[in-house]
Amino acid sequence: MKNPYGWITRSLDTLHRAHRYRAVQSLEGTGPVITLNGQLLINFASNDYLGLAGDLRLAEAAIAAIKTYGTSSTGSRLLSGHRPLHRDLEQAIAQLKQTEDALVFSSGYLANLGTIAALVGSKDLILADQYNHSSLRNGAALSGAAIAEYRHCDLIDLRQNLEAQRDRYRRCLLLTDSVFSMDGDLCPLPELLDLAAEYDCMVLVDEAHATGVLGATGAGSVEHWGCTSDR
Amino acid sequence: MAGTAELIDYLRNRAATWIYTTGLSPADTAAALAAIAVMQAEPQRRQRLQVLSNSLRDSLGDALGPQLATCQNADFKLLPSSAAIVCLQVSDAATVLQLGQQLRQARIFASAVRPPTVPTSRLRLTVMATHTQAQIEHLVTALS
Repeated sequence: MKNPYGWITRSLDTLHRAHRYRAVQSLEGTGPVITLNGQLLINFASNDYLGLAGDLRLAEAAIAAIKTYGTSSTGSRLLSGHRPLHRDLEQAIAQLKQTEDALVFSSGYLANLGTIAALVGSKDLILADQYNHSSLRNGAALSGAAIAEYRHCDLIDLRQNLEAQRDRYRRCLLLTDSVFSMDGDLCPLPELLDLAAEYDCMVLVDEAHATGVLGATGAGSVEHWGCTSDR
Repeated sequence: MAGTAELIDYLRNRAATWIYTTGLSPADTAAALAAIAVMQAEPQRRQRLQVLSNSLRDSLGDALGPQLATCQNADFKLLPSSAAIVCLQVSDAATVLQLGQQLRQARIFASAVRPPTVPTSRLRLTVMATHTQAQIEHLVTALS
């Protein structure tokens, strides 16, 4: 009898052979020193750049919220899941980012997927840096827009793509990480925003690895480059 | 997501991944709100992060410089970076896994990142504001 799931075994074998097989590692503790299999290790693998994940003030705020509102939001925001805390956070983010407003999704990945799919569709064009985060790439795919990737941080290549393709589409959305998550380098944002203005494009900048890290007040790379008023 | 009031209003009406899922948990929301307040009240965390990140970049450049110059394999290199992420690119997936294991023996936990996440395998090192200068130096020594 045929096994319709048999391909999974073969796929896993392929991953092992290519040294691409991945598995979780169970860490204990938080902060710069963690424990793995009983061994103390210095942690150079977290995205807790400011070291706030173990901060007691954050823990106390979370505990107080649980005592007041429970452990779950218990519904979608438009139905029964909206709490005053959500609005407070959105206003704090807007104030930090110097924008008019902000929207808190349930994760960064969902924020990118949902926003991209809401902004563009089959009549539109997405131009994306080739090293963008998975959430930007999959958001682009989900949207149904035509997708063109430009070489990493190469604005000459971006301009050529815009010149060749922009006028064949209705809307255009530029997608880029500001600090590239697996490289650590920066998108040349001022020049990218100039190109966007020239070719009538919307811009989505993923500040996941820049917020709290870059800029005079920690607002991210938009602040770092002095582009806040362009938003 | 941050932007104009109109953009956000539109997303509240059209972003399916916001509309059709349970809102962020109260604990996560409160922690994020507190994080912004602490981050704004304590700019020294960000400054220290920048100092330590630059220190790691400079020390690694110095320590690996001679080695890189004599190394026949041009694929082994420090990638350009300016935030709290520093990456050391190596030739292939097996090498980066081996490097990760060697660091483990030196009491260092670092991410071995491989394709398809990235085009070329690399060791991804992230700095925290709460690291000590001695911990950064220990990492550089281990990699040298």
